[in-house]
Amino acid sequence: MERPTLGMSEPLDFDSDVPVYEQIGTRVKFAIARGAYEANAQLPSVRALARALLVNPNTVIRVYRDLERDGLIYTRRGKGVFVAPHAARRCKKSRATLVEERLGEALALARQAGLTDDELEALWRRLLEAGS
Amino acid sequence: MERSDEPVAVLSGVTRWFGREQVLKGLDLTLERGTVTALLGRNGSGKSTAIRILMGLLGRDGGDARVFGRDPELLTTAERERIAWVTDASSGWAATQVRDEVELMRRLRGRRWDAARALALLAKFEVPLDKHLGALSKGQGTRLRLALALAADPELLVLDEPALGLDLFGRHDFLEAIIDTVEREDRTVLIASHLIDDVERVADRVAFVRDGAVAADGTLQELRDRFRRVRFALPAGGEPALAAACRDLLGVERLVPDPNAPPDERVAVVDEFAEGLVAELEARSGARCLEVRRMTLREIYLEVLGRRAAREEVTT
Repeated sequence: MERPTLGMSEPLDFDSDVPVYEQIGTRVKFAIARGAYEANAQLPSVRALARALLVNPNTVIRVYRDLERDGLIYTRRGKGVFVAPHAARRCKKSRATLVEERLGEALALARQAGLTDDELEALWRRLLEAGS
Repeated sequence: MERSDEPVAVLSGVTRWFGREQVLKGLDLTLERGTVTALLGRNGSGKSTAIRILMGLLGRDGGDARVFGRDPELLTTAERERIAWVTDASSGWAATQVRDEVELMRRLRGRRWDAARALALLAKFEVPLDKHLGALSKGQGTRLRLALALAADPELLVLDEPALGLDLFGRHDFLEAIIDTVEREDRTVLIASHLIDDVERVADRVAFVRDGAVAADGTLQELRDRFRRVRFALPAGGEPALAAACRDLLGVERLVPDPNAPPDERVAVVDEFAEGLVAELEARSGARCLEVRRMTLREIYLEVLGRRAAREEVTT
């Protein structure tokens, strides 16, 4: 059986306000963005991904349907699900947008807490150093 | 007659009495083809009775029931073979070996039942064939019943508290079995369970059963979109003013003091939440809304099924 490499070691958060199908969709996009699946590469089957994540196959079907609607993947009847050409560029863009959103939320929190720009910059540098 | 676009099973307004006690009070449930539906409810809420009526094992006093388009009490043998049922109750002779039980099923269950598949599942579930049924652990007994049920390749798989006695590995196998079943086209699963974490993973729809009827139902997303936890600072008029406004505008029967919040705050759990109502409520009662947040399935469970009593039952 194929082994999904979609960064799935992170558990899904069923209590999150972000629906599970969206969380899974984001992981697929991130995997495409970082080149784990290249253009026209085959993605895990619905069954394999559902089993790997222990979620209802209908949830995975919804993920793939949404990604297909967005033109990031295509399906070939009886063959499976594949990465669309040019999907990587668009996935990178959506990855950047998502991170920017999160940083924006963090910035809003910092403003609310009354941090100065200098304090923020120092904090950011410290985080980058700790994370590298 | 049966049609492929019709629900696999429907209960509508089903009532049932046991002696002088009414156990079902007009229960409605629809199982769409190819979906996993979870029944969540406390012990004695009527889940198992509803399941037994659906299976044609128990008659109803009122209302209508349909499985494969037919009254479940009138299902043909061939139709019955398309349904498999797993309960917590053990069956079989204690002195029988697992392999003999498989052989017995091969002879009793129709042609649809696949002994090779049963043996493969038993190997996967690590149930030894030479063990006597009486010597099986609770978890092994559950896995045996699950394997025997899945070997029938059921179109409708009914699981009544199936995960009882299963450890984490057993629950993993069990979730995989549901996933494998529903992944195949037109396979439908009904599961009654207390294990919210499992239900959240595999259910398409959830029905909360309380006091013999469905108190709330929908997809997980619909349910989570419906309910909100709203925190208020008490107005000058105090709790009575806030309570009255919550009742009139939001349909909230009672306010909950939040143990983690200051004493001048109250929480209302709102069903069918609508954004605009908060401003109107603030204007009318003088209370200030501090926070509106979505609820987890577990919180909705506790709210819908009765907060205090349900808390003891939610495990894991």
